[in-house]
Parts: sequence; structure tokens; C-alpha cells
Amino acid sequence: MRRYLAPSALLLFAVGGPAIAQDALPPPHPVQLCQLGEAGSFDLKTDGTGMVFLNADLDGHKGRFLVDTGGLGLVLSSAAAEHLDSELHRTPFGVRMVGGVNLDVEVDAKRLQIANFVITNPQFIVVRYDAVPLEEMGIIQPHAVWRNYDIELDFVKGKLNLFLPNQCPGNVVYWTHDAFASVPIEADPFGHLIVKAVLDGNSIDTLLDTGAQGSLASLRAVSHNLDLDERSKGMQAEGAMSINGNVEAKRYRYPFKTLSFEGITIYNPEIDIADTGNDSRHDPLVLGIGVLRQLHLFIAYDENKVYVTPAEAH
Amino acid sequence: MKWGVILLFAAAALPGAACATAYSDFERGINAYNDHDSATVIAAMSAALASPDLPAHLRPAALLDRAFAYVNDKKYDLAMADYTACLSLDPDNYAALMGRGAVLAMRKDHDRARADFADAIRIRPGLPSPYIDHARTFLAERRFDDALKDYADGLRASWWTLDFYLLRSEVFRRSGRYQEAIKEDDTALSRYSDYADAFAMRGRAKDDSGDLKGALADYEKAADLGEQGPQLWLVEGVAQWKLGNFVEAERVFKRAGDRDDYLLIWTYLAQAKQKWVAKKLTERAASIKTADWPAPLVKLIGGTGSADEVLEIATEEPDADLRSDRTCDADFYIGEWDMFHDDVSKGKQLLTEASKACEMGSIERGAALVELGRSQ
Repeated sequence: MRRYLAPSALLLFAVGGPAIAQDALPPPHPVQLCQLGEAGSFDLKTDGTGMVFLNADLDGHKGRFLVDTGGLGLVLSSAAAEHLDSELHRTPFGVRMVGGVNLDVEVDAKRLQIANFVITNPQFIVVRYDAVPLEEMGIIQPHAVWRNYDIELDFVKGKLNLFLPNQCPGNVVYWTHDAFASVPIEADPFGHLIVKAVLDGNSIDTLLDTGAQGSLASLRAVSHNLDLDERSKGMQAEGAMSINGNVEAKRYRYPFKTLSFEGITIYNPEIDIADTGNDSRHDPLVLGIGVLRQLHLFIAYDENKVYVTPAEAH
Repeated sequence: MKWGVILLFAAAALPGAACATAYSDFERGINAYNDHDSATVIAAMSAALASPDLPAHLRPAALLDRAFAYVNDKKYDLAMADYTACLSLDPDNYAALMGRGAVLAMRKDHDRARADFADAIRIRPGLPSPYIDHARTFLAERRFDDALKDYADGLRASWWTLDFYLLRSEVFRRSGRYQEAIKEDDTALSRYSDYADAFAMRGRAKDDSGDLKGALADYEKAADLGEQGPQLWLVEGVAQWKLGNFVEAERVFKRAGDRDDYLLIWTYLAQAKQKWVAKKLTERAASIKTADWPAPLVKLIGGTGSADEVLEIATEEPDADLRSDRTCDADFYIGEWDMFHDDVSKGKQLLTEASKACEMGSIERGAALVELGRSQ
């Protein structure tokens, strides 16, 4: 299972500007004080592990793409790339995955269609077929595809919705009159969402990653932020784990009590601690889909905030 | 309005079912699925599916998880029903097609299994698994050429999957086409020179073709590359045994300690050739409380069972493929047991049966032929 990617170099994506099929757009959703401009709505598919996907048509080949807020733009499985009528080529702008595997092969497709959105001449980075879930064509980082939109993830209704930015700052939670949390984010150029969290009283950067199954921290980061190591009381070795399908790591568990960020507290969070021997003390804690599916998220990139309610709030 | 605190709980601390919603039941099922907890998957997904509030887009995943859990519990009829219900909602669900195909194949309903695997190939033509599973249904029917064609198709679709060369090698070996088998392994090794499995497979082909020294060199190379385990120790030890190197064979078999019953039996066979036997097999035989194969063989050779018991259990096995395998085992190991107990005539008769009845490529067939050659 893909866990997280650590870019070591800028990856240039030449994704063509998304062309919105205007005739297919649903009407704007009414809200009380201002009107959010809904720009698109896509059905999320959910697999048996709880991961979410978008159906797409890539150069006439139908398939699914993992929705990965922790991903690197457009990624294509080599299994899918083989069936495109395009040549693979190396790029000087490679990305290094955890464990040192270079992602430096690309393929230029002609047309990616997701519902009524069409992206022309999309460029995909190609990974070994077993580096993405076997059933999927590849991975989509939503912010890389829809860079100019705010993004809502509604796991209960199974929707990824797009909104025009700067419509209702501070007032985007249209789906409920109940309370919500407003969490500051730091979004990097890849659209990765980093929030400042507090794990057992200690601050730690946390990545909201829909492409990760569970939640994961590196031993070095835990050691740096919480002064814990493999000999700490309560730390239990749990064998080995694979990260990104190609890096073996020692696996530990620790009885963390709380993980909090801006109005949200998760009790007894289940967090795997990994030691690849090649980690950084600055690695973020990865909060995976197992936790995120319990939330309804509105990512307001324009405000550098993510708005959060419980998944079933309505 | 912005407000204070949202309380969330990790999966293990989710509230009980009393206040559960269809979505929270679904989430509980997902978490249980990821924790390989079949009982909770079945309970949680059944509760979620029974509720009209479960969103329609989540029903295929709920049905799929429950089907996997039923398979894990060997409740195959229920699993089939869930796979089929999942496919009625989501006809292109690759996992459901592969899952239902696997159950159908297990039930020897090969035509319907092939139809599901063919649909899976149509949906994801670049993945190796459906080609492999499709081919296995042909192998189960001894349709070797059809299986070879499937593997060739799989290799064209996902040329980077070197396993296809080894799968083709296995089919050629089981067909007695040893040079073609070796050629496949050589091709795999030309693309990845440290491919331990390819050395092991090439060793098997050389072994069956009679090139025992060549086989041992390949087994050793596979071991050097990290391919360690009872399967390799067994074929390596048997190759030494066939060469008459009984001390070396015993040393190889003993690598497994007493973790593998077949290796324990072969340790005995190697020791018996040296005119002595250790107590380990006898102790193991005395401790056996099951009739599961190969326990009857261990009991026979360890002195607490009988040939009649072995034959009875082997021939009464309802599954035809297993019955064939066990009858082969019974003929060979009872034959060896007779030989050691100076009933050479009966032993040779049973070994002759084994050399004819055992499937080409099986360890027992090759060993029976060598033993018959020695006793001429």
C-alpha cells in the first residue's frame, strides 16, 4: 500500500488547463450569506479497504485513479502506461520516493476525461504497476488537476466537489448548520496539506493523506518531537512493514493518547511508527484515509484553511 | 458557526452498535477488513447493508468485503451471492470478478471461472493476475497448451512480469518438455541475472531431465540468492538422494528441523539408506493426533500407523485431484517402507505403480524411477 512520497526535487507537470464543460455544470448551491460557486461534482468510488477513487477515461481506456491528497500530481501505473499509444521517456525532473527509488519516467497522454472535465495532453509520471493498488490505473492529486479550485471531500455521499475560490471566506460549510472546525493549513506546491497537530502534548506537522491507508510516523520524527525511541516504555516492536511497496521498515506501535489540531481531538489514535533507517526528523505524521473518512472536508486553498465536520453532519 | 471540539475515536474505540448509523457500521466493517477480522466484517457490513440509509455508492464495497470475509470463513455459497450482488451493482468491479472466479475455480466450475477472469482481463488488460488465474483453470484440466497460450498473452500484456517465464517453464516441465522449460528459465535469467526463483525452476527442469549435478548447481545458486525454505531443501535433498549421496541428503533435509513433515520423512529415507534411523520421526509419529495428510505417512514410517490406514485415507479422499496426489504418495512411501522392511517384491510393485500414477514432474515419480533403477 502506498504510504507517502517524499519529493526531493521539483517535478514539473505540464497538465493542460482543465477545460470545464459548462453545459454539464450543476446550478450553484444556495447558502445563507453568500453563494458558493460550485464548479464541478464527481462521484467517488470506494473500495473494500476504504480508499477512494475517481473513474476516468484515459485515451479511450477506462479505469480508476486513487484520490491522493498526499500524492504527486498525475501518476500512472506502468500496467496502464503500456496500453497508451505513447512512448515512455525519461525526465530530468525526477522525484525520489522514500527508500531512494527514483521516479523519472514519464508518458504523455492525449486526453484524460473525468466525468465532464477534460484535460488535454496530460503528462503522467510512471511507476511500477505494483506501486499503486493493483486495480487502479494510477493516482491523482486533486490539487494538481484542479489547481484553481477549492475542493470538498464528502465521503458519506461519495462526492468530490469543486468550488470557485474566494466566494465565501470563512463561510463555506454549507452542508450543516452544526458546528465546524477551521484548521489552518500549509499547502506546498504539490497541494499537500500540512496542519500543525499536537500529539500527546507535542507539536508535530501532520499530512492529511487520502492516499494512505493508515496513519504513520517515522521513528526519527517521533524521537525528535516526542523524545520517544524504540526503548521507550510502551513502545512495541511489531515486525516489519513495507512502505510504497518497495521499502522495508521496522514497525512499532506506541499507545498515544490524543492527537489534536484546531478543535479536533482524536483519542487513542492508531499510528504506525516506521523505521526505514533513512528517515528524517522532519518527516510529517501522515494521517491516512482510515481517520479522514470520519470527516467531511472542505479544502479552501485560497484561505489556507481546511474546514472540518464529522462525516455524517448534515 | 465555528465551535470547539470534535471528538473522534480511533477504530478500536468506536462506540458500540447501539448508536451506530449505517455509515458507522460501514466504517467499522472497513476497519475490520483491514485488520483481517472476518467476524466483525460480516457483522458490521450485514448491519450496514440491512439499513436503507447506507449510501448506494458504498454498497459494492460492503458486499465485496463481506464476500472476502465469507471466503475466509469457508462460507462459499454466501460469498458467491455477495460477489454476484456486488457485480450486479458494479459490473466492472475487478476485485469481485477475481474473487468470484477464484471461488468458481476452487469448485472446479472452470468454464464460469474463466468467464470471470476473462472479464477481469477485459477491464484491466495490463495486470498479470487474471491471465495467471485463467491459465490455472486450464492447468487443472491438464490443458497445458491452452495454459501456455494464456501465459503468452499475459507476457505480451505485462512484459515486465518475469514470473510468466517461470510459469511457462513449469508447464513445459510438467509436460516432459525439459529443454523448452530450461529455455524459459534462461530467458528470465537473461533479463534478471539474480532471479533466485529462475535458478530454482531451472534446477527442477534439469533434475527431472536427469541432469542432477546441473540441478544441484542451480539449487545452490538459488539458495545463495536468498531462496531458502522447505521447498528448495526438499528438491535439493532429493537430488542428493537420487545421486546416492545419502549423508549429504540427510544434512539438507535436516535444515527444516521438525517443521515440515515431508522433510522429516525424507530425513528418515536418507538415514535408512545408511542403515540407521534417529528417533525424531518416531517421536513425531507418536505425537500426531490428526488424520490430515501427510500425517498418515508420518505415522506409517514412524511406526505407529499402517499401510492399510494410508491407503484407506488416500483412496477415500473425495476430491479427485487430491486423491490422485495422495494415491501417488501412498504408492511411493509405502513402497519405500516395504523396501526397508525387506519386502522388496512388494516394494518394487508399489514403486512401479508410483512411477506410472504420479504426475510427471512430481518428486515422488522421479524418486520412484531412480529407486527402481537401483534395485535392478
